[in-house]
Amino acid sequence: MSIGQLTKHRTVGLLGTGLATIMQNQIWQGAMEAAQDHGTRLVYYPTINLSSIPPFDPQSKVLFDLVDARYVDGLLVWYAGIAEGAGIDRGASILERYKEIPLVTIGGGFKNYPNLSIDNYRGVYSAVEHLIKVHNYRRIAIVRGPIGHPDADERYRGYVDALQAYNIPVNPDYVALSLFELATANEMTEMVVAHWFQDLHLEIDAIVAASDYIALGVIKAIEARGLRVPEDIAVVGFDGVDDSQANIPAVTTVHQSFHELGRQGIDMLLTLMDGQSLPAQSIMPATLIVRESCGCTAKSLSLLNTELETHTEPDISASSLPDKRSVDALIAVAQDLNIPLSNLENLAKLFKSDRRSITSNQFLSTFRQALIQAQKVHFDAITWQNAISVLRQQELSDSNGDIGWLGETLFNQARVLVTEIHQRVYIRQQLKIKQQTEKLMQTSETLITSFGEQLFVDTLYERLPELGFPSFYLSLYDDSDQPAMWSHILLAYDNGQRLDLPPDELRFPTGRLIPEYVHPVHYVAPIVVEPLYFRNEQQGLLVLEVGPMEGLIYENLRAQISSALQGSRLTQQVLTRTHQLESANKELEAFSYSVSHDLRAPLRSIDGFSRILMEDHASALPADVVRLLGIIRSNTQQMGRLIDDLLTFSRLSRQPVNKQVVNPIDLVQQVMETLRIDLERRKVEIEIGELPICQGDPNLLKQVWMNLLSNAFKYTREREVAQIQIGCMQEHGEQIYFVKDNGVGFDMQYVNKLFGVFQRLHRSDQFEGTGVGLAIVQRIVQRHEGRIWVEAEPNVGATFFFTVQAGS
Amino acid sequence: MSMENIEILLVEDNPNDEELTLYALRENNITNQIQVARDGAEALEYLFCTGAFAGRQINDPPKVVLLDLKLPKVDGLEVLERIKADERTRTIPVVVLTSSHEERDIVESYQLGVNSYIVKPVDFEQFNEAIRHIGLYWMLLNKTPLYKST
Repeated sequence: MSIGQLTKHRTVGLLGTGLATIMQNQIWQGAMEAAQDHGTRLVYYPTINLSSIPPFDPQSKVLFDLVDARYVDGLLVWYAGIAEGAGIDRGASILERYKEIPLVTIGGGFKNYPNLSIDNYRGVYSAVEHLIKVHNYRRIAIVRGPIGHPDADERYRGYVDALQAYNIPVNPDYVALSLFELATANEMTEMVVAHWFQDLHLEIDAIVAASDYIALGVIKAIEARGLRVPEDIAVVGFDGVDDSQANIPAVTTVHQSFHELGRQGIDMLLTLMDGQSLPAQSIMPATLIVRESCGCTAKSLSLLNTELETHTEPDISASSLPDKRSVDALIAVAQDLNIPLSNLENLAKLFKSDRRSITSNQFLSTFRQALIQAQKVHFDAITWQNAISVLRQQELSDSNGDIGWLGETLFNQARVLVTEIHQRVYIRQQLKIKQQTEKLMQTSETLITSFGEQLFVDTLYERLPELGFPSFYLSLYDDSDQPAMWSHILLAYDNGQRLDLPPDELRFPTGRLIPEYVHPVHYVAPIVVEPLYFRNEQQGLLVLEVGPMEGLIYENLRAQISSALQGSRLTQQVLTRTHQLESANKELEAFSYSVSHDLRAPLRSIDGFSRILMEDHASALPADVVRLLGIIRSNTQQMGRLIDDLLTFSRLSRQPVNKQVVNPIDLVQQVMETLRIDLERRKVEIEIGELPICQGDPNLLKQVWMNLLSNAFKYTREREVAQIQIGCMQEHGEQIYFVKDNGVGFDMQYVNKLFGVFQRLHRSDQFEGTGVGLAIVQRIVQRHEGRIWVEAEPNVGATFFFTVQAGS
Repeated sequence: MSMENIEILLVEDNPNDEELTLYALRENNITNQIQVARDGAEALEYLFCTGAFAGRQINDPPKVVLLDLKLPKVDGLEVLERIKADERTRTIPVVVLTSSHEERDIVESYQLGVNSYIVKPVDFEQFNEAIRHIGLYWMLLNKTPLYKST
């Protein structure tokens, strides 16, 4: 198949934040809908952690590189995805690299690119106006968004203008700053509220927050000071995220439809790609949703949700609504519920007959059917409650404010039905989330234990379809320092099928995301690109055809696969290294074998023939020659000892430790027996304390005692009376054996050298030795998972301590 | 040197070690007939009466074989294995006389049925002492069965 065929379907990219945020998720879904309507493939590139500072971690940088002009026909950029936190200049410089691609931004504009935003200005303006006109507040503070952020600046302008329109001067003390997102808003708003209340002692009636997350943070900070929202201070937000609705009190906010932002953004982008021009700035209307946090009471809520442009008088009481308004409200509710107006009119008709006759009960059963129908797609309990309110008001105005007890009962029952269905929908959602989470956890567990590349690949083939992904492709970068250049595909699962990958066609330019031959031409299904990385190490990319709508699944998978990939790589590395180590060890063995054999043979000859000269030809040799021959022999023998000690030392690293219960007393006695000859004609006081049994290799531990005790004897040689103490202490559950002497000791500043091979702290004409003994001791103790250390003082003595696991 | 009544077969490729061993044997008054083989193949030819030693009688074995392990052509362990695997030579005492301290070599030698394993010391006094013990024990004290022809 040719590139020509492939490009028959256009591909547009969406660059935004991680999918786990509700706002981004809605933008994504709106954009997918629009792309699908136009037969266009949508590739979603989620930047990673907005709130991380610095926000442009290596990960996001890679992501920006993956958007490749050769394979993307147009790009929709959510401002927050590239500029929030980093600022507009940094964002603009990132967009520079896409100058060959038609580009539209949403939610905050840059110069040179058409932008679509919500009416930030009018949104905040109307919120402030609501606070002034309905609630008579005048001391209105604002926690605004970052200066320079287009949305934030517009919202602030709305605040200023609304105040000025009502002759309220803007007091700089009442203006504070925060970032928009959940992660940072809590902390920043706490600081703001602390500053206002504790430092400035401001009298505040109401606080306008530039985002819902800021509003929620403000409410938390106010409540933490024993004050109530809205009774003591009113708060309004912006965005209309679910959290603001779920809060108690529910947050009055300016709703912006992120879904529409995504949808219309794609529409605009496609228009631009078709060669038509777009205005620099397009505006979507904002809706003020009045809830509780501004001070409105729950009773009047439903009818105050209104398009800003209508400029409703908000203080109309329910019972005096004119007919026109009531019909308008019915139309609005039908629109909100996405059902035909006739359905509501039918309900109204059924209600009328039901409330007059106790035998007729059409209204509730029809209403219930409507609810059941609605919950199949999406259930908005509040709008349904609104619908009941609207029907009730219409009925009240039709019947001069009296619908009778039966009428009220019917409405109350209808409300109970809404609540009941809402609860079930909620429980169902929770169950679904729980099941998804369980599946994710299972996937995670399986992935974590999938050591080795093949097992890892098999696990993905098995698990990802279970999570609802129809297709997915995993590729690794050829060069992790240049991820955007070339990649090779590791696995491809295409519409329920595991694809065989021809071994000589694995490589492809990374920006293509999937190799050409794997990527069927008819594909318009939306995909998500998740770059895989571990810390700073770039690994590769996971391309998922959109399955589940929960953004968290995509983010979790990225994290899990990244670490599993790392784990499997590490395992591979361990295997390779182990293999290398084994062969290195074998070489070492061969080496020490030949050292043992070949280095000693010539020494034996030197020593042997020198000896023969000295013995058999002594009479023919001058005395000095005999003396020199003696020097040759003593050096030869020293060399022999060095080789022997070195071999012992190297053998210790390889020799297995055969652990058993050992009684150190036996070992010490055996050693003393061997060393007895050295002690002849010396005054030595040996004090042996209690030596509890331990776990270890008796041969190796004997060597430890042998070396430590012979050292003790050696270095006390110049003492009139050598004093040697052997014992054991218990500390922190450890058994610490020690050998203490009153010998020449040493300066502790050289202690680091003490246990090194061939390291000596005394001249060999003072004390003979090869400098390997203590290295051997240390190696043995370490191979027993013990520790060894020493305390010493020149001319006072030395004490060697070592730990060995206690015997059972 | 007469081929008859050889009492010691010394298998040693290093001429210096050979000379030192012979010296030590002499110094300790072990004056038995000594045959020296300079690699494993030669040792096998001697013991199994083949090649250069085809004229020898196999029922006239040495009293003891002093065998180095690291040898050209056929190494010492293989020589040992061949001696101990053949009924006709199995009873000949073999003393491994080597520089190797390796536990591996010691274990394998004993598994193959070596009669004694001695590490050659660098110090000639000790070497001398070792040779003295070997001579004393294997030449004078040890009794081997008389060869039975099959």
